[in-house]
Amino acid sequence: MIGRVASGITSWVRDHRTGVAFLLTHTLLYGSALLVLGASFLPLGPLAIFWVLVVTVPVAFDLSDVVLLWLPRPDPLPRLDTLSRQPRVALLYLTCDDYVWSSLAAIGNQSYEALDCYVLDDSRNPLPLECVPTPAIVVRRATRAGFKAGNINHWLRLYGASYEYIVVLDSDSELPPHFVSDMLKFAEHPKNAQVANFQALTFPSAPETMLQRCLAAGHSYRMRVASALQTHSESILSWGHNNLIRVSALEDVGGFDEAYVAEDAATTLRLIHRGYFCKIVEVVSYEGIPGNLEALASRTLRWTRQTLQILGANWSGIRLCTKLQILRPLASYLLHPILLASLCVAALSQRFSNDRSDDILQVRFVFIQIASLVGMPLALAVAKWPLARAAKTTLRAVIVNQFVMTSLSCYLMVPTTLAIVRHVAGERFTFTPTSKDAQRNQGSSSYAMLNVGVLSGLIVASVTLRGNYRFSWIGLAIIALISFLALLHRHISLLKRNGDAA
Amino acid sequence: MPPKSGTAHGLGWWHLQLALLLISIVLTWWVRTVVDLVVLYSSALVAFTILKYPKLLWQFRDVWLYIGLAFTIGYAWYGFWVPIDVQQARRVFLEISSRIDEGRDVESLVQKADGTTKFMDTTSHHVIAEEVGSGERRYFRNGTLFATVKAVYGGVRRTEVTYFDREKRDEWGIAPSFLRDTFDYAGHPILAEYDPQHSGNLTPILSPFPFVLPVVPFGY
Repeated sequence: MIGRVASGITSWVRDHRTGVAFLLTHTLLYGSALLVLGASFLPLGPLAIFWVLVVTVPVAFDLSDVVLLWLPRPDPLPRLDTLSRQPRVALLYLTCDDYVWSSLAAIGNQSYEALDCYVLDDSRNPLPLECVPTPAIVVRRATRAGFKAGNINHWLRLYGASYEYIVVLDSDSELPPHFVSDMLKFAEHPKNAQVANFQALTFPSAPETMLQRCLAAGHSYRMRVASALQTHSESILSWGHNNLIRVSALEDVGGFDEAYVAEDAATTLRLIHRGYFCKIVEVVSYEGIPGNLEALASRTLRWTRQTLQILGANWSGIRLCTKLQILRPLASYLLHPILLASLCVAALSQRFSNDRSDDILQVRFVFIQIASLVGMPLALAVAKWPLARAAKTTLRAVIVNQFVMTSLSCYLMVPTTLAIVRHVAGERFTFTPTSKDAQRNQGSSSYAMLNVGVLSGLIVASVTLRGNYRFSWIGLAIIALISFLALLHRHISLLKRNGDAA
Repeated sequence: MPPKSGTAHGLGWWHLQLALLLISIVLTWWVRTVVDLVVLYSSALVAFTILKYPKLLWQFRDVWLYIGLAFTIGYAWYGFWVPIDVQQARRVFLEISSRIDEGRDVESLVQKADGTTKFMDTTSHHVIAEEVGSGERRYFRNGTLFATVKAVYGGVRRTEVTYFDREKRDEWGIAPSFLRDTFDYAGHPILAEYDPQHSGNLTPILSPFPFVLPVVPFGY
């Protein structure tokens, strides 16, 4: 009896090891943070305790990777040494007004012979034919319905029956010459018959800007960690590009899911429900990363909304380890409105204070917020150092990356909050490709002005509520003007964009 | 044109949120503590999220279980090391208050309909203190606010004594040098410089229930 119970607990823990790792990490992190802060800054106010509680969730998700790396991992996906046959493969390069010349030119460089290249062009202005490499076929369609998913489904209806596999590339994807044959060695292994989607590791292409260099360190690190940890998951959620997909499995689930902007994750869910899996394989590929703040911000905002949108898909029967893959980024995104709300509370609390002693509490609370913004990236970087070394990344690069990501979180605090509110309020969400032009640097001023407007407004409101009205009203007028200009700028940009789209 | 915002479904959600926020602000204005705003609004938000997204919540039940467990265990661990007990805190509050009274003959009378209690010196007939609810007592000397003693329950675990008049404080010899003393629920000073003569009679009592849930701020 005891043996059976022990065996049941062991298998449950094995199934839920990701959740258990999170549980352990969060408990240790939260308890330790409260103890350390409590010993240093007593008395902790309820706001500070709540803040620590919330902040430690995404951090615990990150650090639970370290715990998972210590746990025994199942064997990686088997691969063939040589290919015994040459299945037909289609390489699909997708673009929507965002083609990257170097990536497009490289699609014909594959050493695999039974390969055809297609350029699926959804651009408003058709791709110049002289840009398209000779062996590639350009496929355009009358509408852009279903965005990326619709584009691939359109190709599947035309050509899908002639191929066994497809390779999906984004406009900034770059592949080494042996990519397709290396991927096929995994796909053709008999034990991998139920794996529908083979996801390659995607490392950043050669960085051009300072921002890209800062982001590249974190990107490489995450790839290595994902690769090392993926065997803990029954299936990962596809990243949507630089992958090899079994056409028969796709047809089995009715093609790509066009109902969601995150068509990759939605289609993976469909595949899992039909008994297929999505796995990472140790094959290297490359992709571009945003070269400026505007591109990075717009991509983050899009990811925020598509993460919220995909929560509405059918998740019943999906394993915990797969669910956590979507909830990890969600926890990070939800931190933005919580941070903003906590700042509002700290600013407005002066009105609601019983006496001056509450001021001291709020100062401590704000101090803890600031300390966490500085301390967390540093602590995370140090904690991740062993993993970073495995990813051949220096500690300095990881620290810089952590601070850049934290700064970006603060920069996007207001826009992300608005994006979440708009989504929850039911605003229609459509796909907008991320700008691939590294040198373009326009439009970010609207985000900056929004931040300046809201945060300055909070400061003024706080001062006003404390009774210094003379300066506050002037300040409020300035803030109102800045906010108005920011909104006007944003509105004009939207009008222009939608006018172009029409 | 920019995308149209708001469907019938979404607009309903907007109205709910607006109503929730307004109700929370009005209630907060009334109860005048910012903690209550956070607790009120987040509790209402959780409740309405459950109503709006039951399927989502059910499908992710295993995840909520882990997050809920992690929150509870983390909080319990912290609570275990700093034992908390409302009755004990109240006792410390009263004991510290009595030190400021310095054994004078004090009578109390309720003067306001909202429950504020005023304490008068029976010799001089001056109001020397007033108590707001049962969690805060304000002390006056010659008509000016001299100190507040405040018991804050639910995760905060302290009784605070704030002195507004440094000279008077030194004159009365209540606290050694700090503007504010903070005592834990066992009556130990934990923020101010420690003066042993002021905690002689307080005996720490370990609570059989070592932690409380974050909703306790409503409790006092």
